[in-house]
Amino acid sequence: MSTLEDISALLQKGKANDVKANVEKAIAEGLSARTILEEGLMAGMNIIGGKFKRNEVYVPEVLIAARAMNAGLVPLKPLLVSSGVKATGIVVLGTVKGDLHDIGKNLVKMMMEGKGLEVHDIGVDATSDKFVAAAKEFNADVVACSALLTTTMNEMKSVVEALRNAGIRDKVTIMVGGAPVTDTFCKSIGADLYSPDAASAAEAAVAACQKSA
Amino acid sequence: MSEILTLVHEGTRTEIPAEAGTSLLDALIAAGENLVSATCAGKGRCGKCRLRASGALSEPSERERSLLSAAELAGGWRLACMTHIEGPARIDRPATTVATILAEGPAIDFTPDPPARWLRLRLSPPTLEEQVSDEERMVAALALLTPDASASPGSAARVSMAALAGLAGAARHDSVEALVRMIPGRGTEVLAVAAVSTADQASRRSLGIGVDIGTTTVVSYLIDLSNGAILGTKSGLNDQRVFGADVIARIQATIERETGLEEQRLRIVSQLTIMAHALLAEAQARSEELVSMAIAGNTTMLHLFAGVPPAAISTAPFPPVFTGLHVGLAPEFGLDLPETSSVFLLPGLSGYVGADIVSGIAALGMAEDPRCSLLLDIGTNGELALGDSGGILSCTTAAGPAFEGAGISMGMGGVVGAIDFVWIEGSRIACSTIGDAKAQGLCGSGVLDALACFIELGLIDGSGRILDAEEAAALGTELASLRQEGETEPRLLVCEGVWLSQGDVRQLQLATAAIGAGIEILIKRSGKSVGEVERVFLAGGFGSFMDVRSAVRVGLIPRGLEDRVVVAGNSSGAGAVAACLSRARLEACDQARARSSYIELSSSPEFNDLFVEHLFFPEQA
Ligand code: B12
Ligand code: FES
Repeated sequence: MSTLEDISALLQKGKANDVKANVEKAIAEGLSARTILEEGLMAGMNIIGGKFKRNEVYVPEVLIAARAMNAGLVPLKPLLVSSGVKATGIVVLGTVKGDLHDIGKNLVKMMMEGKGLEVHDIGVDATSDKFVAAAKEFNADVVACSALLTTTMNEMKSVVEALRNAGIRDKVTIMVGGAPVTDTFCKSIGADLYSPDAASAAEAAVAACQKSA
Repeated sequence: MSEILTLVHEGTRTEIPAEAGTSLLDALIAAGENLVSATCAGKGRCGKCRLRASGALSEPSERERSLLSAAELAGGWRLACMTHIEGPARIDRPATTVATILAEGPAIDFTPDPPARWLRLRLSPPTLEEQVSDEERMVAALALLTPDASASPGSAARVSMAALAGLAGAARHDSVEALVRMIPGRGTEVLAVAAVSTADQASRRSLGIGVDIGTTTVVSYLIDLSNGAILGTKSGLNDQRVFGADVIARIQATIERETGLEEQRLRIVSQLTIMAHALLAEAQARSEELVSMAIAGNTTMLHLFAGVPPAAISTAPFPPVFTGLHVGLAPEFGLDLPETSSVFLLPGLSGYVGADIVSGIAALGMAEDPRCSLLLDIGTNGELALGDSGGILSCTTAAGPAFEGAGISMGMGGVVGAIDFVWIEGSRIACSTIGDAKAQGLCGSGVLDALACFIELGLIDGSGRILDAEEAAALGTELASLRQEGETEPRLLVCEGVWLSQGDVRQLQLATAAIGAGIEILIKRSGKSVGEVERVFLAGGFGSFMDVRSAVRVGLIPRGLEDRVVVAGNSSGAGAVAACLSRARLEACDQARARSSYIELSSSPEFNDLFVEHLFFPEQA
């Protein structure tokens, strides 16, 4: 197996130290930072994402794979910066006001990072103002809101309105998700995209960023 | 425009008017019907509101097409929440099935000393020399009978206006019967006075009703307060269930529907009134014999009963309007019961650890016992309490309705045809159904057993994955034959036509992990180890029916505690019964509350890590 294949396989198993060691090895072998990222780390996360979508693996496997990915990114980051590799897009992600559930949101973040997106996590219980401020600050392409309670779902509508009032509604793609959210609901509040799981959310976000680019 | 909706059931027809454009669910709610349970509160997600309807109705929506099979749609099955009335239509009522509901509380053992009761008072005869009012003569007689209640200065009994009116007629005799209320810390009150029963009339009994308002089930116990005998029990599904299955949905109905709070209040008030009248009639009681009703329930249920808006409980930081003990009279709560019946709304702790748990703690004597015990009430919301006479820690962990059979592809309530137990016979799987009927699905205890069996048989691995076909084949043909490739994901057969899917296993992992992690946090925060927990009380319907070994197998209860389990039944109801029966127990509720503290898991830094750890099933013993 090539070093890149090793990286992907070890990442899927969640072997953080081995992933890091192999990324260092690949750098020494002279592979480009972009190649290591895309064909090693991201390839591994992609496979995990597909399995997660099909329910073959679950939350813990995604978490440990993401941890391994982060370990691999440590030696890679400086090279990515110096070689000018840009993120696929910029996402502001948070759990809406009144809601403190963040396990699903964290998975979405990991999957998005696994697709090469730059994610700014504004945490839980985030007001619509906070979403707007972060979207402006980071010049976001995507604003993604998570809600797990049927009572806090409606906060997503406030986020849409706040973005509109701030005059940046059309600059961003608004994504919504969380267990009680549906596509119908997404449309009814004037948001743009709904995805049922973290892997699809990451794919949809990438597609949205490419369209707007 | 108003249309007519006809309900047809075993030859009888009921017609209800309904506005065109409203959903069948809303029409049923407006007509006070409880035909379906709207588990997802009418969001078109759960598929539990299905019923057969025909006539001028909207076309099946996208949601209906995804939740109902083509055959079901062709057979007239619809989702009540997604189907709109366009003209005259009819609904075929399903044949009624009786839910197996838990109505047995633990036996409580103590001397009756009811906080409200009829007392016979011997009055000193009025004389010309001593000009003393009837009221004073009665209060003096009462003080002699109840020295402790009126010992402190200034605590002479207060006499209500209604009682004075009764006294006027009764006091010409040498004895009267007085309805007296003595609540610790609130002095003594005389609420009613009546003439002593005549010779041919049995003297007035003192009866109380202990009530547990569960989100799913409501239970009322009629008690003879002289000896603690339970004279009768009534239970039924909570009439508010058409507004949704969990507390969040009920709260949401108060926010989204203009009259949502009042509608739900009326439903529970009339449900309790009807239960009370039925109990009194069966016990051949005179209505004034009902002296008290003690009510336990989760914080949201008590808000809805009292007509107090619960909205804030649903979003962080979840503040309830009240949690303390409230004492009133039946009419103040709109109960159509004797005006002099007292109502005790029992105290709770927080928005999510309510009077149901506190009264359970009191009934079980947890806060007075030096032995450490764990109370588990596993429902949609898992409520947990751990501690001893040194103090109690509690928390709530949102397990979701998986253990009530909801959100599980073949899940159903505890009704006829539900698989209730599953076990391994050799290398085969066997099961029983409620009513010995043909298996139609799994109720909570069946879901838990099935999961435990499949883990034990190795068909589900520690991470919750159903083995692939090749791996299953390695376990032998018999076991491999249980694995099927469903439409989108693999599934495991419990018996013909009933299965557990991969997605179901994932839902169950969330539920067990939430409870497992909650228990671990309580044990850690109280500085104890699993070994120090001497008793585990299982409360509530699911806790009473579930197989403890299965619960340990899937990681719901820590290993090592299986032999310390005590089935506590409806401990919340038992606490309510106890509160009617004994002043000390009513006070114990307040003390249990004072000695308990609440851990909010949403803000505990260690919860997420523990939760993820508990998503794995434990290794084989
Ligand atoms: C774990 C949990 C908790 C933990 C939360 C820990 C944490 N820090 O997140 C604790 C115990 C603290 C908790 C507390 C509460 N909970 Co809770 N909780 C759950 C539980 C069991 C699992 C949720 C979860 O993490 N799932 C796993 C993740 C991976 O899935 P997910 O969140 O759905 O995310 C996936 C997708 O939805 C999607 N996604 C998520 N976000 C986004 C965002 C975007 C943009 C996109 C595109 C996609 C997307 O991708 C994710 C991965 O595929 C559910 C029950 C259940 N079975 O779902 C209840 C549940 C959500 N909780 C519930 C309730 C009521 C509460 C409480 C209000 C009350 C209580 N009992 O304590 C509190 C309040 C907390 C608050 N205000 O936020 C209810 C909500 C009911 C309702 N009608 O709304 C549920 C459904 C349980 C129930 N039926 O009673 N809870
Ligand atoms: S689908 Fe109608 S109430 Fe859930």
